[in-house]
Amino acid sequence: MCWGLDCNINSKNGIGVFLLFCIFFAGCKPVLDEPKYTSGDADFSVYVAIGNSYTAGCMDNALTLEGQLQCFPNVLANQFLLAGGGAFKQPLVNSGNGFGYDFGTQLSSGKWVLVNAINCANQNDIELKTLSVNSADKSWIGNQGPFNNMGVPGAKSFNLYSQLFGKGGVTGNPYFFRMASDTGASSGLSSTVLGDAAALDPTFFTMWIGSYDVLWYALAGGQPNGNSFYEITPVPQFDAAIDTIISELSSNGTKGLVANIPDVADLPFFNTIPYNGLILTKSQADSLNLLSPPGISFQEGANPYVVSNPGGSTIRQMKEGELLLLTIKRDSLLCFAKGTPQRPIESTKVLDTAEVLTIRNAIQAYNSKLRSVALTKGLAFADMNSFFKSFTKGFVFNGANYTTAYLKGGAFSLDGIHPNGRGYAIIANEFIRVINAKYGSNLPPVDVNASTGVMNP
Amino acid sequence: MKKVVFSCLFLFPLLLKAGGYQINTQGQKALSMGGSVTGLALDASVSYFNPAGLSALDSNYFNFGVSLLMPQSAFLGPYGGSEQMSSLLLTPTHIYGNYTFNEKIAFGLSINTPFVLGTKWDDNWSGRYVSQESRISTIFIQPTISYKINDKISFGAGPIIVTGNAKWRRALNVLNQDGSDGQLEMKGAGNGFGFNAGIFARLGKFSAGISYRSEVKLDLDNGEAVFSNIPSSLINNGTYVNEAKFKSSLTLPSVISLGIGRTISEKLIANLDVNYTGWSVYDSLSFDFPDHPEFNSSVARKLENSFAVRLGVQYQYSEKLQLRGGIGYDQSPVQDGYLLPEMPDADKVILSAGCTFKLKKGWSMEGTFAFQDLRERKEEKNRQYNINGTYKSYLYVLGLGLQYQF
Repeated sequence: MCWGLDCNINSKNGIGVFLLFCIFFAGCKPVLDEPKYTSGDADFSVYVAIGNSYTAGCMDNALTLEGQLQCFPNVLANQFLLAGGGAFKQPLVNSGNGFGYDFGTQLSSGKWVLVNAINCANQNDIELKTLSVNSADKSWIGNQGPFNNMGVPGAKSFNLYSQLFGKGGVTGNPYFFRMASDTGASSGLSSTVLGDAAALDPTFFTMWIGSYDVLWYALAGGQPNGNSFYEITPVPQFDAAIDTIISELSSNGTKGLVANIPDVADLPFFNTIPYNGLILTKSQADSLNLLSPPGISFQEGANPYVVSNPGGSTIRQMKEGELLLLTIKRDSLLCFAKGTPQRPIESTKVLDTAEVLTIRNAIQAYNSKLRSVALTKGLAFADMNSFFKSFTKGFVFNGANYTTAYLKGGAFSLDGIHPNGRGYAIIANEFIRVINAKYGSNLPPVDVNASTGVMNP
Repeated sequence: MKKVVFSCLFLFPLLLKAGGYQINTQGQKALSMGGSVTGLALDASVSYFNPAGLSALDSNYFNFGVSLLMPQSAFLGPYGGSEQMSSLLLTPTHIYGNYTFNEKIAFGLSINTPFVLGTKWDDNWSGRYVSQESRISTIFIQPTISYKINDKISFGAGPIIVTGNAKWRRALNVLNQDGSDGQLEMKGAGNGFGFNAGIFARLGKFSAGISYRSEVKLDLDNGEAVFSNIPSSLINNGTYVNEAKFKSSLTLPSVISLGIGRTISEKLIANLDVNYTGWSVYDSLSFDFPDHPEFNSSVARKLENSFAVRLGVQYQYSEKLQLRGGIGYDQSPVQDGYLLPEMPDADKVILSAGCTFKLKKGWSMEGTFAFQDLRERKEEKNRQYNINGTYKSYLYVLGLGLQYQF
C-alpha cells in the first residue's frame, strides 16, 4: 500500500498498522517509476552539433543566452545525459539582449521584443522593438573552447571548412569569429568550424546545414544583384561541401543525425503576409480601377497586392503561390496604400513564381543529397522538410496547439525565421524520435510547454 | 467504549464503490460493504439504494453521515518526472430518513451527493493547459414511497431533484512577457430532474432487489468564464475578453443495480451486487459562449457503460457491535484515447471495512474505512489534447455516521 515510502510491509503483523500510518499520516501517495534509459547502439558521450542559426539557437533576431539554452542541441544533450551523454559546452553569450547581426548592413543589435503601440490607424496594436546589443557578446571567446555546439548563424554548407570564416566582419562571420579557436590573427587563416568540431573527437554528431545556401537568396527577395553572398549555392558545390563535412565527421564510423532543409514557404517570414491581402471596399476598388494601367484591376474584397517587377519600371498584380517577406512595414500596408499601383511593393520583398521555383529546386536537390549521404553512411535522417509541412498544419502537445503561424502559432520567434524555445523543443523531440528509431535508444522527449514561447506585451 | 469504537473502525480492510465521478459513499453501511446493499434493507439509506426496501425495514431510522475522500494521483508523462496531484479533501454528505406509515406503505427521504469529482493539479504542472482543477458536485433530493404488495414483494419509487455545480480551471497557452500563462476559470450551476424505482423481495433466507435510477441532465445555463493574466495586447485587439457567459450541460448516468442478499446465520448476512451504469450518455463536454463563439469548445469524452461487482458482509459481533466488510471491482467507463487528468480513471478494486456501535436510546455511531486502488493506466494516444502518460491513483475514504432508530 505504501510503495515508495519507508513503510516496511515485510513485517507481517505490522501491515495493518503501517497501512493506517501511511493513510492518515504519510498520505501514502502513488508513485510511478521512470523507465531505464539506454543509448542503444549510439554513444552520446561526446556530442557535437554542426549547423547554422537553428543549431546555435538564434531567436528573436539575435543569438541570446535564452536561445542557446533552449536550442535543440542543448535539449538533445540534456536528454543524452540520461543515457551516457557527457558535458555539452556552448559559446554562451551573456544574459540579456543577445547579439543580433545584419549581414547586409553589418550592423549589430540586440534581440527583438513585442511592445504595445498605437498604430498608424490610431488603433491599439503591437510592434517590434529592437533592444541594444551588449558589445561584450561580440568579443572572442575561442580560448574557452572547444565547444560542442558549433552552430554558426548564417553559415552556408561550404563555410564550415573555410579558413576565412573565422576572421569575422565582412570577410568571415562575426558569430564564428567569437568562438573560433584561431581567428587568423597571425597566419591570416582562421580555424574552421569543421576543424574545431573535430578537435573534440565526437562520438555523436548532428548536422543540420544547407538552409542558408538558399535562405540568403530568399531573404533578398531573389535579387542577389551580383552579390555572391545572396546567390544560391550551386548544387555541385553543395554536394561537394556535404561530402567533405560528412567524411570528416564520420571518419571513424562516428554515428550521428543528418537533417534536411525545410521549404522556405513553411517559415512564417515568407507566409505571414498573404499575396492577396489588399482588402478594398467597392468604392476603393472603383477609384483604383480608374487609375490603374491595363492588366491591373480590383474588386470589392481581397485583391492581390501590386508589386514592382525586377528593375522597378513595370508593375503587376501578384499571383497565388508568390511570397511576400515579413519585413514589409505593417504601417505601409495598413495606412499608406502599399501594394497598390501608386505604391507597389519592391521586388526585393517579393518571391515571384520563378524565384520560388528556383528555391524549391535547390532545396529538393540539396535534400536528395542529404538523404543519400545519410543512407550511405548509415546515419539517422530527420526529414525536416516533411516535418515542417506537417508543422504548418499544427499539432497539439498536452492541450497546447502549435503551428508555424507567426505569433499565433506559438512556436516561432519574433523574427519569423527561427523557432522559439517551444519550437526548438518540438524539433528536438522529432530528432529524438529519429535517433531512437535508428539507434535503438529510448531517450524520452521533452515537455514542449516547459520552454519559452511567444511573449505577448 | 471509545477504544472499541476506535478499533472497530479499523478492524479489517473493506471497500467502497465508484466509477467515473460516481463515488458511492452514500451511507456508511453501504460504504463499508463495498457498496453492496441493493439486496438488503439495513437502514434509511435504502431510500437511495433501493426505494422498495423501505417497506422491508424493521423500524424507522434516521441516518446522517459524512465521508472524507482523499484522492491521490500520480502522473508520469513520456518526458519523465512523476507529478503528484495536489492534496484534496472532498466531503460528500448524506441524510436519510424513513417512516413506516402502515403495513403497506412506507415513506423515505434521501438527500445525498452521489456524483462527486475533484481533481487538482499543481498550477504549473505539465498538463496545465488541459486541467489544473475540476470540481463537480451534485445534491440529489429524493422523496420516496414504497408499497408492500405482499409479504414477499414490495415496490418503491420517487422523483429525484438534483442541483449541481461545476468548476473547471486551466491555464491558457498565451504567454505574458514574464513567461506566465493566461488563466481560464469556468463556473456553472444547474438543476435537473429524474426518478428512481425499485423492487424488493424476500424469499426465506434470500432477499433480492432491483433498482433503477434514471439519468439526470443538468443544464448549466448561466456559466461564468473568467479570463485572467491575459496579456493586455490580446485584450486590446479583442482576441480575449475578461469575462464571458457560457452554457453547458452535464448528464449524470442512469444506474441499474441488482442485488442478492443471503442470511447465512443469525449473525452473518451477505450481499452481492451488480451495477450497470449508463455512462455512455456522457459523450462530450461542450461549452458554448453565446456572445463569443470563438471560445466555443467541445471535448469528446465517449464514456462507455460500465459494470461493477460488489460483495459485502455484515457480522453481528455483539449486541452492540456490528462489523462489516466488502470488496468490489468497478470497470472504468473511460476508453483509451479519452483519458484526461481531470478524471484519471481506471478499473478499480475496492476494499472497505466498518462498524456500527450502539450507543444509548436508539442512537448508534458508524465508522467506515474504504480504499480504492485504481489500476495503473497508460494513455498512449490521447485524442484531443495529446496528453499522454501513465496514471496511478488511490482513493482513501474515511466515513463517519450517526444513526437514530425509532
